[in-house]
Amino acid sequence: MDTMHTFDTQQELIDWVKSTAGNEWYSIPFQIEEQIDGEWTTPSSDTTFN
Amino acid sequence: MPLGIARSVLTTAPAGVATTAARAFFSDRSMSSTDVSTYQAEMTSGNRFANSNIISYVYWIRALDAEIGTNNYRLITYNIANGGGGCWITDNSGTNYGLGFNLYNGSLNIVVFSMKTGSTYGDTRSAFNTGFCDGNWHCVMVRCDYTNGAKRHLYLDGEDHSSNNTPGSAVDARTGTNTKLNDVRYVSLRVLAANDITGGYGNLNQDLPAADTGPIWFYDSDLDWTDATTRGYYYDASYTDGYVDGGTDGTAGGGSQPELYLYHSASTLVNGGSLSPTIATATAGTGTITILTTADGPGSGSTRT
Repeated sequence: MDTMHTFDTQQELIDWVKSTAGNEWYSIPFQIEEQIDGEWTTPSSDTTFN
Repeated sequence: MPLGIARSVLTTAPAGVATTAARAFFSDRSMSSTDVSTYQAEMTSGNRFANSNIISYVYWIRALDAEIGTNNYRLITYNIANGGGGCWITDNSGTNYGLGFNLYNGSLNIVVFSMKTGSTYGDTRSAFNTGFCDGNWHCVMVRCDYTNGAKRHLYLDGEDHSSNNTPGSAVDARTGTNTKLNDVRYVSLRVLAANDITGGYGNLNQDLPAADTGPIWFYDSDLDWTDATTRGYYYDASYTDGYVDGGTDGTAGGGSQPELYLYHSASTLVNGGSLSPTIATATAGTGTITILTTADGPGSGSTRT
């Protein structure tokens, strides 16, 4: 069962991932989506964790 | 715009050639040491993978459970700042264990682990620790098509071990495009060097010096590991360690020439693949590389003790 977490900004998402998964983020399957006009869709920019 | 992130759980075919042992290498033996050294293949313009979505590779590894700490340890990295992936070994305190690999495109991270129910090394944590991390040479086969969820596999010693990131879970079938594999500048055997400005990682805590690394075949195309004939080009259980030697260009076992075929000569790591990368060492502190002779490499039947 996927768990959804929402953030207001990309940086908040990055900070949360780093605080919960640390440097092992790559070993966890996830999908980032962006809400545009109420619809969840492919983000307009990539998210980098390295 | 608000952003959301969803994640699942936090928390034998004849090879046709006589067997020949290969050389291998390892770096430092102490997990606590930051003095490490390894190899990286720099892929310059015109010498990069052609396919941005598909990667298949085979490599040989020998490790001891007692030498592995409680972390994820990167064995191979081929990522850039916002794409690509790598392969690692895991024995942390969570639910994960075994080998794993990922592909990431900037928003979707596909992960495959080796925790398939009933598999030789993946059924339990102890099966992996005592069976795979037993000091003997083992063969790892990775297949990942980012656009096709049915073409993702992780085989260990010729056997399907594919799972998601929890024991017994089904492989993630979500799809995406453009993992930027065709823009990867460095393939590193362990942690990606920090001097790779396109995605350098440099986290030495995730290096695994205490493991021996044998030859590696990298393809920017799909190799179907579910096909016994294809597996037999690289692994044959009737041979010592199951090792099928690739010769000088990776084809001696019957497979096609890979884009990168990284193997150790008597003095350094060389490439026999179709691309022309620059092979260099990446060193931190006073780390050194130790070369294993053919009497100790895959195909020798020797054991790391």
